[in-house]
Amino acid sequence: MTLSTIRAALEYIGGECDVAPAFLPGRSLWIIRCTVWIVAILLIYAFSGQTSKFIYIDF
Amino acid sequence: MNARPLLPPVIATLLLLLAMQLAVGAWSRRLPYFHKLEAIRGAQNPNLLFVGNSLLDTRVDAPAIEAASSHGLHLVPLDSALGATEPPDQLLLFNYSTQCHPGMRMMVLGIYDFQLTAPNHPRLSDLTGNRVLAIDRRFPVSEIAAVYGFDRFEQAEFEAMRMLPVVAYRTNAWKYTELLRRKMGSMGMPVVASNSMGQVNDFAALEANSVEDFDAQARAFLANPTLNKSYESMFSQAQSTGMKIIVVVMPMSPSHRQTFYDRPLWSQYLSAVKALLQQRGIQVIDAGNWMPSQEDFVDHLHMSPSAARTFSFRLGWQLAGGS
Repeated sequence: MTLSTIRAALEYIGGECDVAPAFLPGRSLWIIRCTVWIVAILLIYAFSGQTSKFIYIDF
Repeated sequence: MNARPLLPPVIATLLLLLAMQLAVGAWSRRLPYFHKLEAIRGAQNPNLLFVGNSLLDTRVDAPAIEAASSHGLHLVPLDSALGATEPPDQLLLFNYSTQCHPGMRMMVLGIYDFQLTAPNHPRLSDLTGNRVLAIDRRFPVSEIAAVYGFDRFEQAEFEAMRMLPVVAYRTNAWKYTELLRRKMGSMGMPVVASNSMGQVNDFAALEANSVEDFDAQARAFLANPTLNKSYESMFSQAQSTGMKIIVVVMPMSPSHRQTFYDRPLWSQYLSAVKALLQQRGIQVIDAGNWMPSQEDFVDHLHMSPSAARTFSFRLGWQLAGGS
């Protein structure tokens, strides 16, 4: 896998281009796109607001 | 740009969210507060309840207390203390303990500095880390609202949090980010002393910012001598069920004592607190200087395991009627 194919895959998942790279499975690709975005949203939500200084870490 | 069907991604998103909800709900059973609640529920015939924060959490040595009390009243301790909790959270743990074990005869509240008399400032956003225990469905919403003083809007928000584990427990995942941050920050740097709870130097933040600040807190109490509302409620409930109450000023490190407890205002504060508690029939044990060495502490405040064993034995001896 080259850098350009990774870039093409990311551009497709991100909606930058409409044509999927050849190595991505065609019919179930929407599941991958969905997974990527939901994971991204959840990660952003989970870690937003972490501004306080930690003292304890055993929680 | 080509139009793409919207429905499949929306359905897949909802399914993924549902899966995440279930996964986070299951993961929450591994959190320390959940283990504490289960330990309370599963305790066998305890008659001595310990209440407090990390100064007592895992520092009540049950075999030492049982051995020390073998000469008199046989004590079977239950440690409901949980690290990084505030008085309202400790009141919840007290309530749960006494509901599970109505035969409790004695309670010990471990305190330091102004914990017993500082006012509560509960906010829903503060229910993070171990304080997220309020989310547990064992506690009715009416009890949570009374303990934390939540208004209707906060109650509605709280109920929404309870229905969505992803929302309620999201802050507990911050621990892993913090651990990663510390690991990356330590690369190529000198080793930083740490213990099971965190970095040793960080616990200095739990002490007063300055001696002036410490004195100001003592003066504030002396001007208006009242107990923390959660502890007031806890004491009333304990006494209504015939429990004997003992407040223990927890052992502090020599550096903490020299900086803060050797000050005249601390003596005045402690005398006033003792007088206030004795009016209510509550015994006070000042164990502040029981541990003479800095080696007895793993940071500025917390006893080492061997010191905790010594403390437990000595306290058990006194509670059971020893001199």
